Amino acid sequence: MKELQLNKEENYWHGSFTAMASPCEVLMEVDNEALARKILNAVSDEALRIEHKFSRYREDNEIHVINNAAGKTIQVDKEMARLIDFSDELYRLSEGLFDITSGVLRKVWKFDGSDNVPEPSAVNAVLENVGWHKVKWTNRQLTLQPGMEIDLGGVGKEYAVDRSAQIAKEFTDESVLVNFGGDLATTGERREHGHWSVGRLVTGKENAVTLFQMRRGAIATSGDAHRFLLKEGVRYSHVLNPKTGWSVPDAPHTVSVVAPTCIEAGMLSTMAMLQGDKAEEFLKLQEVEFWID
Amino acid sequence: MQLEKISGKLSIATCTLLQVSASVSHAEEWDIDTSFLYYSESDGRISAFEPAIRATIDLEDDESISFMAVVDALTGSTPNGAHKSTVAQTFTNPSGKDSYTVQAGDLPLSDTFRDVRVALSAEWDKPIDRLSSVLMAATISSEIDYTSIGLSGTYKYDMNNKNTTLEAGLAGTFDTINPIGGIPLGLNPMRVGNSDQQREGVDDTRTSYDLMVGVTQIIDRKTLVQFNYTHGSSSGYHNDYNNVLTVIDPLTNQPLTNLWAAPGTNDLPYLFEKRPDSRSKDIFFVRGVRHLTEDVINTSYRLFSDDWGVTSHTLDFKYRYELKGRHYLQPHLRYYTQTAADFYRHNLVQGVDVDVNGVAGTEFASHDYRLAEFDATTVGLKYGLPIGKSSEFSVRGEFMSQSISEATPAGEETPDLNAVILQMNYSFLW
Repeated sequence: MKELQLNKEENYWHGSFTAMASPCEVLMEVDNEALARKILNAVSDEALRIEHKFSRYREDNEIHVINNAAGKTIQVDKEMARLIDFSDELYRLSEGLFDITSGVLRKVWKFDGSDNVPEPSAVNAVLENVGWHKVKWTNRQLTLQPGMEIDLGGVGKEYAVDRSAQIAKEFTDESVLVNFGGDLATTGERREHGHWSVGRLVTGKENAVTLFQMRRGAIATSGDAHRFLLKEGVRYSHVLNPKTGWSVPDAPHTVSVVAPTCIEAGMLSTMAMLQGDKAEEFLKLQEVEFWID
Repeated sequence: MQLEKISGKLSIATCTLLQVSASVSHAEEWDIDTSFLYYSESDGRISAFEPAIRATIDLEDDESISFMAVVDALTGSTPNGAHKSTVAQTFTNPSGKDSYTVQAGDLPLSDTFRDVRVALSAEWDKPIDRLSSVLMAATISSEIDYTSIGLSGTYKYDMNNKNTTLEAGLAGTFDTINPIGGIPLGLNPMRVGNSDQQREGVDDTRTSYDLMVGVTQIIDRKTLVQFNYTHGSSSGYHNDYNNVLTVIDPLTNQPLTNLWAAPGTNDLPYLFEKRPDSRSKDIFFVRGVRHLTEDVINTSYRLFSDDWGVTSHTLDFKYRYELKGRHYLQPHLRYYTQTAADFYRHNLVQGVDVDVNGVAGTEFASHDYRLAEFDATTVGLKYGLPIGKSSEFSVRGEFMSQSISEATPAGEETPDLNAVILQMNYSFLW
């Protein structure tokens, strides 16, 4: 059930709702309330549509059909095909580190702050069902081996942010900022200030916030300081390498990246995490603005 | 994974993902594009009014259908191929019905030039699978003396994560020419009235085939390059039956007065033009589009060459300058130059090209200025403004100046041609 809230701030409208298990915000530098409400409605509709369509927790969507196909070939719709195409390209670009079949590793890895590190034999058993190269994908026809699953959660939220920004832009040329749980995009520069002020929590310092002036483009953040395992003094981050099935050693706690779109920002931050201690080196190569904690 | 710069490839993949998705929301709406074009040549030559409409609907799965209708209303007069003279010249209309006289020193223009052309066409863009699609098109166009039917099919194939598109197409055009009064026989004299004009028949046909191959390559998020090669060949009637050539007396350099061996015929000193009954052409086209932060540069070059000896080069440059609030200004610059056809002649000379009986000794000849050596420069400006979120109005003004290079005796020059083009465009969703 969506609950939309719309409030007038000093010089913009502030809309909020909850989707994708995250607080979602829409900041709109428009003058009239009716337009602000229209934009907020359209954006929340889109967020909920994408959540519904790509969530792996539902039983009434295409993802559920795909993940329960038991070896059968499934014909997917156009939008799903584009996201799978994109993920396929990302799999190649990351040389296998970004893999939408890696979600099943969660069955053995539960990042609850405990020392519950899985047995190598358990990891290897699950790893049988991981690997995009084992999937047959042609002409919108997807064939997974029985036991394999796909999870588009790694790109879904960023996709929702960019789509929402696109939709907002269809309503107005004024600046709109879409923020879904820390992944955000703007549609253009603000009239007066030129920028939106975006705060970023500094990991490990609960009250420290760095402020960033965002003129255009998008920011995405990967990582979660609270999701890890600690065993015998070794910290296991929740970032898993789909090729080994193991937690990536020395992964940063969080990475934030600024890019033209939220998807690009999100993919770069995810791939940086997967580089472990080379995250910073990787991001410098990409010539983007970023923060690492 | 080797550490490498992937942000460029990532941004292209993202572009593909978001660009296509953006269009999803507008299904079930017709995309209507209407335009009105006014073209006017200097010195009271041709004026054209051309309203056009195009309607496109996107169906499921990237399939789309478009319908187009164009009406072209032409008025004015057009050079008839004879050159200026120091004496008055009298001509018969190709139909044989009327005659007209052109004063000394004036360029002979066929005085009643009125025609309405109507063209209807449809296109069907049908995906075959995720990577390939076929575009089928059909056109029918009709005017008083001309009917044309065109059919084409183009196969497109995306590869390299949709960064490269290969295209191959085949087009066929089937024309019928049926002038009022029939078709005058080429390189035969124009006659006074309709008395006994020699004609090849009431109508004739021409068939053309074009084979096109092309590749479009996305270089990076902001740059696109397109190459096309077209080979075309046509056979059948290629003459312009409205066009003649002056036959001059080599002694006086005036249109022949003492006609042929046996005076008293109804001949005039003009022969209808005649061109080869086949033409083969090759066209190479390259275009680059570069997006700057907001502005867009669009540059193209076209090379045309045919077996009539015409080679042309076209350079085209557009710069789209984005103003505030999605308004834009787009200056346009175009330069065109071509060589003359091998059989392009200023006139025919009695005793050299035409014998004493009025029989031409040359196989082909035309004085149609479109086959002359000339260059043309076009300068234009377009202004576009959004109306609401999904409509746009634009207005375009252009000035074209064409200059013919032809060695002629003084007083017989084919004058330069200037023309203005005004176009209004309104597109909206319906």
